[in-house]
Amino acid sequence: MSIDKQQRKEWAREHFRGFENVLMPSFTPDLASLDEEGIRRDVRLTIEHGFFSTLCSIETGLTLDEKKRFMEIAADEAGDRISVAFSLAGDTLEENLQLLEHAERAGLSHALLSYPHAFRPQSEEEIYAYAAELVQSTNLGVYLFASDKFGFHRIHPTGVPFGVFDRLADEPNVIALKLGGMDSGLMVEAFERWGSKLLVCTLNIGLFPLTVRHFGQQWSGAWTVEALQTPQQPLAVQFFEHLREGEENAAMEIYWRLAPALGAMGALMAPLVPTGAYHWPQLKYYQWLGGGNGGMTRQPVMRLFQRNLEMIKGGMRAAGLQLTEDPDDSFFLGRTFAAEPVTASV
Amino acid sequence: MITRNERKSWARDALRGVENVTMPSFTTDFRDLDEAGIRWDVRFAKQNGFFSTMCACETGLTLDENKRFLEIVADEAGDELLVSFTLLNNSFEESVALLEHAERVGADHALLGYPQSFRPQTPDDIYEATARLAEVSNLGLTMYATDKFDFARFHPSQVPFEAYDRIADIPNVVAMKVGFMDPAMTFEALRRFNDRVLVNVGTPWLMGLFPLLHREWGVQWFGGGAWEFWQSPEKPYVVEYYDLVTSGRYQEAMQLYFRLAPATGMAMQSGLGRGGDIGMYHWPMGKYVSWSVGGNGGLTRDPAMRLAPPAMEMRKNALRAIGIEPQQPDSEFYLGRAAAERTGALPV
Repeated sequence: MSIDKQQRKEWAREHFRGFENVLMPSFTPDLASLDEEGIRRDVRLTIEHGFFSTLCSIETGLTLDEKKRFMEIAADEAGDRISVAFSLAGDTLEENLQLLEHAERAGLSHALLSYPHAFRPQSEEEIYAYAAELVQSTNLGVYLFASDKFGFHRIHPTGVPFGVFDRLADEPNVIALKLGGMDSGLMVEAFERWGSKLLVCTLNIGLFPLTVRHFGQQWSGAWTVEALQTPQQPLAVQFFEHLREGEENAAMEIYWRLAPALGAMGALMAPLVPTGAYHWPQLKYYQWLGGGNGGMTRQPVMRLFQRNLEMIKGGMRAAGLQLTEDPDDSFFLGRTFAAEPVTASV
Repeated sequence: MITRNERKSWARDALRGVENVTMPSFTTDFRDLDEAGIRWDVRFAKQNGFFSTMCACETGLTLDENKRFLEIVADEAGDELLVSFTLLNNSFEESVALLEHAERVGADHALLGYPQSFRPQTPDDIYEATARLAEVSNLGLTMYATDKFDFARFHPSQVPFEAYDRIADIPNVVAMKVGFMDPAMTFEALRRFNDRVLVNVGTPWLMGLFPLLHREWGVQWFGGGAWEFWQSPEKPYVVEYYDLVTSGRYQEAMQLYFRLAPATGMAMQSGLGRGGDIGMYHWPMGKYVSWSVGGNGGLTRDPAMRLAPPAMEMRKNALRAIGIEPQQPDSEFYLGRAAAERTGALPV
């Protein structure tokens, strides 16, 4: 199903409802190759969770060929059931252009705009030129990322290039905006400023009651929503649905039930925000607890400690979530390989 | 005199603006209050454009000292500044005594709190304890949504909504301070209580929501906080932001707000002000924040957290990042400005 870029805003308004999660690659236990079955398992689990979309995070230590293959596998498994996005987090403009072309062929539907580490623009114009080249090269939808992690503070004190986003919002296939960070003023400003042209969303679930009521927020992504639910107990999905239906009492009842899980998640994730990076194994562990494949990711990689695992499980169980009974050690191999004997190379 | 039955309507007129915190100043041996230092900070609050100042009573004072502290602040405040105080005392008896005294000396309102030894078994216990405090006073009282009271057994949010729902009906309960960073708590407080009490912006982390909260919910005040982190008497940014929002100048307000972003980022990353999940504050840091823009300064009594030079440098850098040159030299801070003026010399 190919959608022309001119229809992308309309497509997004229809299609972006609920949550988009993050799909991380799974690997063989020696981390030498992608684990196709593990990736497929996670796509199926995403569907079972009730998310409308999944975002392939390619900034997880993959070669260019592996990034392409990862997206192909995800799109193939997803079929027409959910949409598949990816992060435009290639190392260079050229790589990102290639990835967009490949993604369109492979059947992905949208991408999250990011900027290479080495990209040090001197002006708004330079950021616009970079982004516009990507956006205009594809029929995919592109969503903007309002984050302070890209070092654009010389352009605007928040690190978000307001003027660039003003211009990009008019592109037909720029469809939405993801608000990273936790600055409450930036959140309000984003809805006020771009809400008429883009589907603005915050990841701060505590803000949803206000943003749904006052700004009609209809989606949120991409983030590891699995930290708050399992496929059998899709609490976050239900919370969001209740809000969108105007059922605030029912929504808030679920929200406060989630308080212990949110507390544990916040305590573990908040210190990482200033690093501008993600704790891939920790995020995969959240998914694994609800039936995801799990497994480690490649170096450079943050360490996962048993004390973290206990905190995560404690928070989720206190919220009444039923988690896997499998031993934590099997997480480190991933479900595809957990049943097999561990080889000497591991 | 305003009676308790008039307090709700009084509050709608009176609680408008930004309220800061006044912490006590001591002589350098910590044996006595430094009256001149306390008066200095009250004048400092006025110069900053705050409409009210909240005396932090949980800072290691005897009951008599707390009374004296309130007296000094109320006297110096006169008619130019409202005075409130925290009911975070060692016992309810102390809170009652302080409420009675505060009314005599001209304080206006107080933040409800509960002693650590208060271990209610039911939400009704909370209501009854609060109602007893309210009955002894004509002052306006502010409910406190906080994680300090260990009430999670009554509600997973840590706020006993059932009890607070009854408390909100008490005639002299006029407001609610929301001390959670989670905006869902502000939403819940507004949804449940805004028809009866004035829910405030109670934490700097939600300052950015103010345009939305003011427009949609009529929120009209910022409750006791270290707003000096983002302003000085010469550059009262937070107060200006408040004024811009309440006069409908949204774009200018946000322009100003975003200029404060570098300082906000530093404060968030360093956890300045509160020492983690411990339910108390870093008073020496609070005083340093205030001193660095013109407050009296000086350390506070034990038990107190240590003020480390790297944290002091970070505070100063946060100020420079928003165009405010911090006061000098740090050696004056340890003495307090009033004491430095008295002795005519700065410590070496």
